[in-house]
Amino acid sequence: MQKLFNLGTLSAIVLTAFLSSHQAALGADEYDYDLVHSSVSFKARHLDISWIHGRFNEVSGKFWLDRKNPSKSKFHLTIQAASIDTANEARDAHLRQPDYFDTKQYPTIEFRSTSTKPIKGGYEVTGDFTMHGTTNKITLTLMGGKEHDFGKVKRVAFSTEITLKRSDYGFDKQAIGAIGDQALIIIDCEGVRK
Amino acid sequence: MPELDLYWKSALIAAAAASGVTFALLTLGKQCQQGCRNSVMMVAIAVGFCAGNWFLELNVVWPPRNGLERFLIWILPLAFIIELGAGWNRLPKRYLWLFRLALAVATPRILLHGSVYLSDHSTAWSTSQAILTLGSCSILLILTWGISSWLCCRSGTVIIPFSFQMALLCAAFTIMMAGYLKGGAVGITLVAALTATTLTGWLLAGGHPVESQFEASSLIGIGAVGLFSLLMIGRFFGELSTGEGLAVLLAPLLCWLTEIGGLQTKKPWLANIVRSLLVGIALLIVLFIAKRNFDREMGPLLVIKQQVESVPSQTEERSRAGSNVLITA
Repeated sequence: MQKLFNLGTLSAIVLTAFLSSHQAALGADEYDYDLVHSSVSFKARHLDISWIHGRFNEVSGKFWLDRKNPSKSKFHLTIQAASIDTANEARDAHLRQPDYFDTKQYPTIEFRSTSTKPIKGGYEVTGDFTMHGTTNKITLTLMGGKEHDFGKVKRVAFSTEITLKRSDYGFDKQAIGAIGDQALIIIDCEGVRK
Repeated sequence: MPELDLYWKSALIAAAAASGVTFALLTLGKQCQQGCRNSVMMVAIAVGFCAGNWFLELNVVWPPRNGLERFLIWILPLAFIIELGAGWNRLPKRYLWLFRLALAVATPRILLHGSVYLSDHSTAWSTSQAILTLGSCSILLILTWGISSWLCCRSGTVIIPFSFQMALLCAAFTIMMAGYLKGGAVGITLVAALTATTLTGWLLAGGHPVESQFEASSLIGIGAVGLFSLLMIGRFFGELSTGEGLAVLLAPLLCWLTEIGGLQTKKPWLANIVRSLLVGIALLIVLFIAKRNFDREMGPLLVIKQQVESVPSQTEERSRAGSNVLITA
């Protein structure tokens, strides 16, 4: 009985410690990605003479901002790859196929931050970016972070741009020719907290 | 960016390698028995297929990342091993078919491993849905394989494995026209290696009935597993329709129609022509529909590279003039 009691006490202590540390690590302010006021768009070279523009319509995410200790802030973003939209249904269907995003095998594109550094006007966030089943470390320069209070709703927004090479993420080499290897990803993200 | 020249060249290389290996080994081992001939042909197909894919610069990594890689790394080698065993006289037929049955059961599950259908994704199948779909696919594969092998044993004609090769070529083009270029390209090299081996083996046998010279059901086995796998990948990962997939998979079974009225026993040569026509016409209809859909949906996305090159270029990348290249997306 004594052993059982000790085990229960120990479990409770460990659980409390874990929860409190988790809370601290995530900071006080948790924001949900606001799909209505955010966008993840991209542009890529077409035949090296023009640009194709597109966006992902289904995106979710969260971020935790710790104003006192910014290095403890975290950013998570999940994009549904099948929600790609380049304003042409046939092309979107083609881009979902295994030659490109292979959305039945890799349904999501994800970013999980691993470290955050405050910079002038925003944050420099390093993390794991997973696309097409390949994870690479990338660094995003998030500009913004100003909080807007409207009634009981608080909003924070960030913007960033990053250039990625599709060949770094295991895309088929033969599918890269027409659309340039490099793609510019533009993320404008508004977080909302009630 | 589908480079048509690349696909034809890879098919030629696959065919030349497969044919060369078959010719060399069968000429060297003239005393070779049926089982040995079977092994030679399996090796030749494997060598030809690898040579074609090497020319395609197919990037396959371990562990396999998608359906096509699982087909290339797991399913096809397993099929080769089983069909190599088919030539081993000591292996009873019932055990051989047990191995084939096991492969047919495992194939759909392996192909869909880790996909949205079998994961905790929101569009995942329920357990009963998964069992029903995977079970139906396995039954389709083993039935097509078994019924065709049975006909091949009855008739002893090379047309039965050849009908699978026609279906495989049709599947490759249909998958490509549905937008999955790499899947189609692999189909082209496989059919090139299979056809070259079958023809070389048949010609070296003096055009005799195949069953007396080698285990023709092995050729059907590789053809059936390859055909089924590519169609399944095209259907579940690409945009191939269920109707197109089923029509191509079941087309070789049309060879059975010649058994009605005893055409086979009266005039075998006529039966072979009728079989080829039946399968060929069915596959041409599928190709016609696929091409029509391709022109309607993918046509506007295509540009012939030579036309593009008339536009002032900004980089050197498009300087590979003269190659027949279609550019998509």
